[in-house]
Amino acid sequence: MKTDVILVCTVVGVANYLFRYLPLRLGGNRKTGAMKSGALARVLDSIGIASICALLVVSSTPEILRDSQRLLPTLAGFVVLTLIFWRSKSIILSTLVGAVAYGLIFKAMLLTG
Amino acid sequence: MPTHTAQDTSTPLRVSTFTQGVVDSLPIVIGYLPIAFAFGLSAVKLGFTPLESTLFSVLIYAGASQFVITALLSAGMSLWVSALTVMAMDVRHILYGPSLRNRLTGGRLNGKKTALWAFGLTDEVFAAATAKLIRDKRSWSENWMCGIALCSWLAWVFGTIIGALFGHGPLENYPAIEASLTFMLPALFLSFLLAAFKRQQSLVFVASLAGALCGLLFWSIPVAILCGLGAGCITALLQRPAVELEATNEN
Repeated sequence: MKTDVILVCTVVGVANYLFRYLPLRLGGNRKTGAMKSGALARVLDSIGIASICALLVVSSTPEILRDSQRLLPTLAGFVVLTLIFWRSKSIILSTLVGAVAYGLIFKAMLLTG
Repeated sequence: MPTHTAQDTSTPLRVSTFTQGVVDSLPIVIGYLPIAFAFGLSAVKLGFTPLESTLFSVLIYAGASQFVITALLSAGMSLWVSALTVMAMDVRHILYGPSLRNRLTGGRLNGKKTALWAFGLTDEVFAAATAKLIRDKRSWSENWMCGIALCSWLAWVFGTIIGALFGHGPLENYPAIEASLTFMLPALFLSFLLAAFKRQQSLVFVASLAGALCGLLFWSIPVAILCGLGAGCITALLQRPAVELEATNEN
């Protein structure tokens, strides 16, 4: 194994770990009243939803932009997933059934050409 | 932030265990395997040995960054420029800690356990934790986080090893299955979004989706993530706090 690879993996790995760990530790567990009700709390509250929305877009849209035939299976997968989640409230079940629906529509499109 | 109601306090406290974290990691595991497999395959193609490819996944453990760093290194880019490029891509993870801490009530973080699961705080694990905290804050536990983070990391490393060792083959003749697996991550994020969604955050939701879409169409994937985060946070700042809105409605 090349020393360069070990070095770069270690440096980036440590940096990534610090990005993830330090913000959890710095500032401890205290939460002041001002922070709880202030603008900072609203921003921190919104980061979760905002990042999930952004990740949803970047994980699905590039594939559709590359290959427009993926649009229909993606929409079908999302609709089925939403319906299953609405009925079951289960993340695991809705994700898996959504992926199966996507695969079935994709297969049907392959067969029909 | 939702306040505890009488109903909240009367229901028995059910804290999620490590095993439940393992079970809840299943969609992430299924989503990670094909991507990690693709990474292992690509790294070997770019000239890295299977052992080196695995080391990227073991230590760096950050999807897109790993693809970028192997491409940069194999293209002859200097070590430090490559390292700084991917660190810039991953710096968004700094926001995840304060966001999670803001949702937790005091005294919920244990030094040693936090140090363990923090290593596995990827985008997907953060999304899972956020959804869990929004749905049922009291059931969130560090053991649950350890379970979900450990299994996700193992799946990532395992997928890389298989990709690096076996390369093309297993799924080549099954395009529909391959396509379904690539859909696992978007499906997972939509599920987390549905689980975490609250009506009062509708504007943040719309602004983040629109911001990310604009960033993606006009710039790149890393910029799209920042645009989505930025648009969501700015909207949250501009929105009137829920308490204020309730007071106005009462008057």
